[in-house]
Amino acid sequence: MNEQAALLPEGTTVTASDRDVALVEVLDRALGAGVVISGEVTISLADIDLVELSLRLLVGSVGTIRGGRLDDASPPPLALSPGEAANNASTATSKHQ
Amino acid sequence: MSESGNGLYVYCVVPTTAACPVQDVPGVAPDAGVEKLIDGGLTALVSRVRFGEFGSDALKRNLENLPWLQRTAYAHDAVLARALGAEAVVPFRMCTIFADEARVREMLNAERDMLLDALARLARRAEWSIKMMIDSQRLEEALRRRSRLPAGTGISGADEAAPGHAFFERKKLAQRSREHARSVARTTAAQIDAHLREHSVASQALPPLRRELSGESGEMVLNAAYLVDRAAEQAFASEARELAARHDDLAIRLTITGPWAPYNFVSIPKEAT
Repeated sequence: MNEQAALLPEGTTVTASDRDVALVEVLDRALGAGVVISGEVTISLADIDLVELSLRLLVGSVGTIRGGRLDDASPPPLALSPGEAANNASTATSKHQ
Repeated sequence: MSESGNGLYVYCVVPTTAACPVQDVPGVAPDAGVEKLIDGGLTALVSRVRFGEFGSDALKRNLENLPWLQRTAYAHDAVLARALGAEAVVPFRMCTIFADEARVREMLNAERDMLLDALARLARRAEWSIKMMIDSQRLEEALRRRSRLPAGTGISGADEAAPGHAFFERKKLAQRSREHARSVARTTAAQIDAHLREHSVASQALPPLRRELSGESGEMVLNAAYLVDRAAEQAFASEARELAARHDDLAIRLTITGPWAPYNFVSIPKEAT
């Protein structure tokens, strides 16, 4: 399904639901990247922690369905952890030309 | 903050000159739809949202509500996907909300230079995502097959004479095999990244998604975003697919998604390489 997106003819725009991409990948972008401008309401880094928490709950329930086992207790850095989100929002990009 | 009244949810900014029809995109508040707020050369795509749902207290609650989070994130991305069809788009972080039109205009004026610069930089470019997953065990097996060494080579015969010694030898070999697989995975990820960089304008290494969150089996050794000229998208995608096919026999799997709005390229690259 993911590769289908790449197989589409030139000029075709596919939306997230068409691509059936993982929620996590959309969230990783929608929450973890993009211009951060403080409006009247802006998701704060603490809020992203909440998101992480709720994802854990989701994963917990998925894990239960799949047999109740989650992977190791000391996972690598979180894609949605506050520090990483801040990194994404900062200027850690490399330019190629 | 009061939880009554309406606010304006800002998805992104596009150039005012670009054609970007939004009437048929539902957005995060389907009853309100998506509107354009034009201020000079900048057009913000916005939705009128209720503070009862998007105010700071409500938002804290809703972010913990997975169906809400999922619906909102997909709706946000769908608007950006539409905006990507315009000349250029500068994505805002999900749930950036202003009190009223005047405040949005204020923001557009305050950020005008940054936004115009980003629009120019991102024009006719999109983000593509490449993730590389390895199945460590299968990778080790594949590498052993490749070097034509059966599992446990070099320790047979020692077993009877010194079982303790054989045990440690086996452990050492297993360790070496793991390290070798890790090093092959790292090298392959670096090669794939280097190839794809050639076909892109900029790239950004993202933290690997945790296994539980990514929903993928195996270990993610590369999670990267590439900014690609839309005219060169097909070349980029076929290069990525070719790389995926080439490494298929080594328990390495590439997933390619795109085009995305350039979420990870809104800020100006710091260093030129």
